[in-house]
Amino acid sequence: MANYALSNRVDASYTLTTLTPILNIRPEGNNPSHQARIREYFAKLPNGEASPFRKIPTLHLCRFVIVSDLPNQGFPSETDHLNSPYLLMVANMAGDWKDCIRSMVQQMRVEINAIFENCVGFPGTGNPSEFVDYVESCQMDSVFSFGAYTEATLYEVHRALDVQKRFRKFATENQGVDPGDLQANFRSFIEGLKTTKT
Amino acid sequence: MANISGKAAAITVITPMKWWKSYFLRLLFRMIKWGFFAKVQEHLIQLSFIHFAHWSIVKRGQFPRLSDDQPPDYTKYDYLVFVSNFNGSWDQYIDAFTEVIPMGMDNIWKWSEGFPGSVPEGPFFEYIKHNQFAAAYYYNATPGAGATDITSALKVNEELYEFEKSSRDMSPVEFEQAYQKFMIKVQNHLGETGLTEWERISAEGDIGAAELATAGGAK
Repeated sequence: MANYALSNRVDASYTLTTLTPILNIRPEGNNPSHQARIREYFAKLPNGEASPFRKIPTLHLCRFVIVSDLPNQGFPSETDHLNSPYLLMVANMAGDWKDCIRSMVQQMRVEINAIFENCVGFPGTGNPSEFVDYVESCQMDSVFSFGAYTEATLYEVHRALDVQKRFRKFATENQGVDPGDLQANFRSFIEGLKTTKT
Repeated sequence: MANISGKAAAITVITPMKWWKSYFLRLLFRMIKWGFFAKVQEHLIQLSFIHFAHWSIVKRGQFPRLSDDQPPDYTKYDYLVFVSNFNGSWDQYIDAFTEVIPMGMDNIWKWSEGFPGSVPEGPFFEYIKHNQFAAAYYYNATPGAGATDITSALKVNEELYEFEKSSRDMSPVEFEQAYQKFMIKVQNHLGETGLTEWERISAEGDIGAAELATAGGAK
């Protein structure tokens, strides 16, 4: 059920928001800036079925945004400029965020290195706890979070979608069936659900 | 199309606030939680097309500085960061927000510099577009299912579990009657999921673009 809270956590779900400074040093020769390297890497990184983020079993949604500078609102507002660009990461997950980050380090070591080696103070992925501490040092807390299915884990969501699809098929195929057959078919449908994995 | 992943779309909006105004906003969120704005609470729950959304406030001086070599970023303003994952088009989303909770939107963004009000929609659209950042990468674990699809699937599961438990010892005739009642209860939650033709073409286009970029980079 939909729910909201004044924190990062709403029921079982957690929103992790980090702002990580990107290296802003002049590249050697004609090499692209670190900000451009991150953009190029994300442009090449597959999404959908082939996304490396699919290896993370608790991650619902995740985005990376490069904040190059801050928007100007025109007169009479003042203007802020950033000295470094920042990499904004927002991840919606179920369960413990530190476990999720450790899982990223273990399952996506190459990708994490390729992204965060362009950021200030990146400790590498040799020690997952150091990377967790690094992420924590860049964390921004939510003041208000909202979610439509805050109590469900990603596994439960996948399972529910699978069961719904199979039950839709069952219901279509069993229209107008006599009561005895309907009951028997239903029992075997339930047994089928118990014995198959999502 | 990094702001779209399957059926989900991403919106990321960053707006400046005078530092002292951010305390009013924090208080407002607390008041929503405490039930001062019952209608806003109710409408938020009804915004079924949102997977997850949140607001964060980055205080002046809170931009992380992780090395002595990194010049500090001490801004004049606090910054309100709004992040949402929703289904449908950007226009539909902003439109629904302003239609359903205009007072809520006004109360949340009126502390931000240059906010024109959520009604009429034109200036509000422009304000959000001006302060919006495109995602460089956007991942969605359930690309074929919208937020409503997921809540429907969870509902079907819950009801199916209850029905299975309660119908174990019924006679065939009793079972048939109970099954019909069960179907009436869940029939609105059995819609098809999966990507539309347009979404499939778009996703294939993204994969193709990634492959082209990889091939180009390898040369």
